[in-house]
Formats: sequence, C-alpha cells, structure tokens
Amino acid sequence: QRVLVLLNDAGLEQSHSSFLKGLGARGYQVDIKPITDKSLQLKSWDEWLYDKLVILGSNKELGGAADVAQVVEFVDEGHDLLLAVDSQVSEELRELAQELGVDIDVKGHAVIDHFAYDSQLGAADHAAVLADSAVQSPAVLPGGLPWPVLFRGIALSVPADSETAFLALSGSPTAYSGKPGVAQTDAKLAGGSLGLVALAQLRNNARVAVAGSLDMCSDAAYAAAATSRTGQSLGAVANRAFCDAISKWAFQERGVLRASGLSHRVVEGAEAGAVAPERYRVNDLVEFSVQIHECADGACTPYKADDVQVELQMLDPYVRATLAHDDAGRFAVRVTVPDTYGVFKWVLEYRRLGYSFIELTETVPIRPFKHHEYERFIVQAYPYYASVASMMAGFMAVGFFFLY
Amino acid sequence: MARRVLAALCAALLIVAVAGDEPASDITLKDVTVSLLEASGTPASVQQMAGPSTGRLGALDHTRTMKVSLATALASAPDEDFRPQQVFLRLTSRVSGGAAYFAAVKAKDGTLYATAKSADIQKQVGLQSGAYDATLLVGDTRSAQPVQWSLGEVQVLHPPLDDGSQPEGAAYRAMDRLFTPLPEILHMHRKPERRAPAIVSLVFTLLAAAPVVLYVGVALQLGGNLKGFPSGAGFLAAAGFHLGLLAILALYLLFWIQLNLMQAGWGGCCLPYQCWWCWRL
Repeated sequence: QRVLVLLNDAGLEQSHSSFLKGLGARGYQVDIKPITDKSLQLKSWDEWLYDKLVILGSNKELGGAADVAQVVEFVDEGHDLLLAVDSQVSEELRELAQELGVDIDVKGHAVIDHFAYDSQLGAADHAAVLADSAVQSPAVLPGGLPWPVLFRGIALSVPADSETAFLALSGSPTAYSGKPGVAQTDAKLAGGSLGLVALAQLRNNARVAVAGSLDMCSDAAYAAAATSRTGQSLGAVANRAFCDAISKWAFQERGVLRASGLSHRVVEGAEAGAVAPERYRVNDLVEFSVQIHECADGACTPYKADDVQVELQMLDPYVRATLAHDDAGRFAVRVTVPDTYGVFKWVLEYRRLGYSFIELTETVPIRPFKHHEYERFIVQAYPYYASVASMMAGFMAVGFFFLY
Repeated sequence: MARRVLAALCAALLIVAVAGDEPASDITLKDVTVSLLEASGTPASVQQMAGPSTGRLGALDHTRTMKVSLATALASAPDEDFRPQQVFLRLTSRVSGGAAYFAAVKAKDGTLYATAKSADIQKQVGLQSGAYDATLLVGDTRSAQPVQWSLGEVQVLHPPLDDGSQPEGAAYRAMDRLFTPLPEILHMHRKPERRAPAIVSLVFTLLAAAPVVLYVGVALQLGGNLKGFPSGAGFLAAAGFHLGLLAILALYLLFWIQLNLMQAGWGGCCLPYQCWWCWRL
C-alpha cells in the first residue's frame, strides 16, 4: 500500500523520523514530498496514485494539483487520511478538516492548561499540556493510555450532532483554547469538549484522523518525560504508543469489522429446511445468520459482541432481534415471520464507536397462506358437513322409497 | 572584616533570592461573591466565599442568572492591576459528568465577574438538570500556582415541560444516542377469531342429521320396504344404477377429503355416463 506523506518543511523528516520509519516498518511504501511541491498529484487521469495520505502541515498551502477538493475526493473514494497541524495552521487545511467533520480552532490559538502543563517544556507559556482523557474504545486504544500524552498545538472540536467524528484525546477539565498570554473573555473551547486529536469513521468506511499538534509524534516527544506543574516526575509520556495507535486505526489496521456469509433459511413452516428461499410464508419460523470477523494487526479473529441486531423491515421494522454468537464468529437468531405480507428486507446495521460500519440488506418477500394451507375440518363446521351428508343420504333414501 | 562580612551577606541574599522558591507568584483572590440574580436583577441569594467550600449555593432555574465576582492580585505585585489569563467558572454535572465553562469579564470597577444561565449550560452540555458542582479556575502564565476553588453545589433547572417536570437529560452527543442497541421489537401476531364452543357445534350436527333419520324412521314405520326392487333381468340394471349414484356421492366425499380435481375428474366424467346407461336399461 502506498502512503504519501506531505511535509510542511524538510526538517520534519528528521524530527519525525521515528514515526515515518514506523510507517515503513508496517509494510507501507512511503513517499515523502514537500506540501508545496508543484508536481504534486494524487491521481493520474482516473487512477489514484496513493492509498493513504499523511499531511504534516502548518502554514503552507497544498501545491501542485492537490487541493482541498481533490483530497476530499480522495477520502470520498474510500482512502484514509491522517492530518496533523499546529497553531500556525493555514486556512486551507482548516477548510479541509471542516469538510471532513472536524473543526480546527482559529489560527494563532493554542491549547493552554495552567494546571496540567509539562513544567519542563511548557513553563513559559503553559501551552505544552499533559493530556490523559482518551476515548474508551478497545478498537482505537486497546488497553487504554498508561501515561499522559504530551501535546503542544491547536484545539479541535467536533459538533455534538456529528455521527462520524469523535474525539480520541480531549483536554483535561482545566484546559482551554486561546491566544497565549492574553486574558480570555470567552470560554468557547474548554475541558472535555476541547479536542486534541479527533477521529472520524466516515459513512463509506474511510477513516480520517486529525491531530492538533505536529510535535506530538516527533522524536523529541517520544523521548520526553512527563513532569507535572510542581516539578514531580510522572513517568514517561505515552506519545509513541498513542501515535502508533492513532495511525494504525486511521489506516484500517485496527477495528475493522468484516461481515460475510449472510444466510437465511426456513426452520418451520412452508418449505421447511429451504435455504435462502425465494419467499417466506406468513408465520414461518426462520433463522438469519451472518459471520462477523474483526481484523486487527493483520489477523482476522471472530468478533464477540452481544449487541448486534437485525431488523426485518418493510418501511418500518416489524421485527428487531439481537443476534447471539457462538465464539466462532457466527451470529444467528430465529425469528417468526410477521403475519403481514409484502416485500420485506433483512437489515443489519451495526455502528459502534471505533469500529467500521456494517450495513447489510437482503430482500425477502413474504406471501400469505395459499388456499390449501388453511385449517380444514374445523369442529365448528360439523353441522354443515352433517347437513351435506344428510342431504346425500336423504336423496338415496327418498329415491329408494319412491321407486320401490 | 566588616566589608567581607557584608559582601558574604550580600552574596547569601543574592543566592537566596535567585535560587529559592517563589511564593511571591501566587494568585490571591479577594471578595469572591457568588450570587443568584432574578431576571429583574435583584439578588435571590448572595454568598461571600473566603475559601473553597462544598455547601449549597441554591437553585439556578431558567429565569435566574448565576454571577461570580472576584478581584485578583498577584502576590509578587499586589498593587498592580492584575487580570489573570484564565478566570473560568466551571459547572460540572454530577449526573452526566459534562462541564460548562464561563469566562469572566471585567466590570467597570475593575473586578471580574462571570455569569451563567441555564440556557448557556444547555448549549454546552445538553438538557441535563440536577446538581452541578461549581468551581472557580484562575490561572496565568505569570504564576506557577493556579487557583482552583470549589464553590459549592448548584441545582440547575431548565425550562419545565407542560406538566411542570424537568425535561429528560438525553445524551448530549448524537453518537452516544445512535451507537447503542435499539429496543427489541416482537411482532404481535393477529389473534385467531373467537369460535363457538365445540358442544354447540355437536348439538347442531345432531339437529342437522335429525331430519333424514326421522324420515327414514317414519317411512319404515309406515311400511316402507324394498319389495319393489326389480329382480331377475332388471336387477343388474337397477343395482348398477343405484350403485353408480352411490359411487358418485362417495366420489364427492373422497374428493372433499383427499383427492384433487385431476384425480376425481376422471371418475366424475365416467360415472354419470354409467348411471345413464343403466337407467336406460
């Protein structure tokens, strides 16, 4: 897989050598170019030249044929993007992030925390913060954060009604975003809603990661030690593990769910035992099953979860059932078909934080009873049977007595 | 000698001044007042805070404004006008954990004040009413000792619903609402129609069968018999005819019970012809 890395300036290649080498070590073919390169192009005619894009950007504009529209198109086609900016972020990169669902704060602002700053690196302006509020998601950060993350940069925010973007690392309850050295007159971005790193799982299952700090993934940050405001050592910083986790999630190496083997069959009813019949009959007992695997770090293992649901819907869901799994990744449930006939579809929509989306549908018409599938010889109809039988007997009897 | 002692003393003072701790950069807060103002501006409650406290501050409903005013000074320069870079009032919900922040602005007399309304809290953390912890955060790059004072507990009430109760505090982020399992739906099948009890049907069956039984009984009593049945030459024809009729009726029954039209159709075509032929005989 080919990764294009765009650097704001050449010095970033040395200062972030650990991060870039790590990408290469994971098997990617890394292409490093300056962001203002005039020959920059992401696609040649209709073919995309790269599979993933990393932008370590600041105040310089995208050069060559690459612009916001092309990068958004790149992501729309299902490719992943990792964008890191700092306080000098250009308007173009802010616009790019906004198109993908993440709002970067105004240029010149920084994340400041007078209570939780690193006293070795941030004693002057309190802008090198130690953050430990990370998202609780086994797909993004398996095992959580053992130490705080050292961060110096700009704040991000994600709208509350966003269905795709969420914060991977947010500010501590005392952090805020503002111009360093200036008294704050409004508290627009502060605390838990102040984002330091935002991730987005887009509807086409492409992933975007936006980090507000360039220094967070630099070699210096990896080697730094966390020192509290009062000079006490807090141990190491988790920058290396965090940057690793974020880039792995962003490049679809973690938290990818694969659904396959969708099948349905009739257990009881008309055509009992039929697998994937053309249609169901009302009141049949049917079984729906699907195989779901979770792919992480190159290996796909059976997914284990108790909240996968399937719906049988015709405009509205008539049945919604929770699938039970055996530990081998097969999720199945038995459902009684509703007694309304029409064209239904099985809908399996599974969206959880940090995992890729599963959206499967299978159309299945449902027919009513055929004329010979109703109940026969109802007890309450015996008088009618008796009247017919007595009619026939009477005909024979009258005939005999009349003739003979 | 005296000069040497003086020099040593000066050196010592210098060392102490340069290398020692600086408690002089502390931020001091004065006249911290927490008040709840009605819509008209009259204070519903005013509390002076001398230090952090965890008492109750009152109720902040949708008509009131909470105002925290204070004066700040830097201990190393107590007479200078000191405006800290961060003077925030933070209200953290005890139920959802979400926090709303309000920055302080400068009043005309030089004090700083921060105001909070329930509508602004709703914009930041959603419609969560209940107990909130109020905290004052004061920090500045010129000071290594920021101040965090807990001011107490505020009951925040949002505009009530029609029946006077508080609106439900749903999750503020859309993702928290959407990325959860939905309630299960079990389809309620149509209930079968109510049927009469079996005994009614049996009674009427007997009633329906009664006339023919009565007829046969009465006819036999009146002397009905089969003496007129043709014997000899006509016997076969008559028997064949009646058997044919019986067979047709039996075929009806069989068809009703078991066969479909295809199988019964052949018999239905042949038998009447047979009967007619016998009748002709």
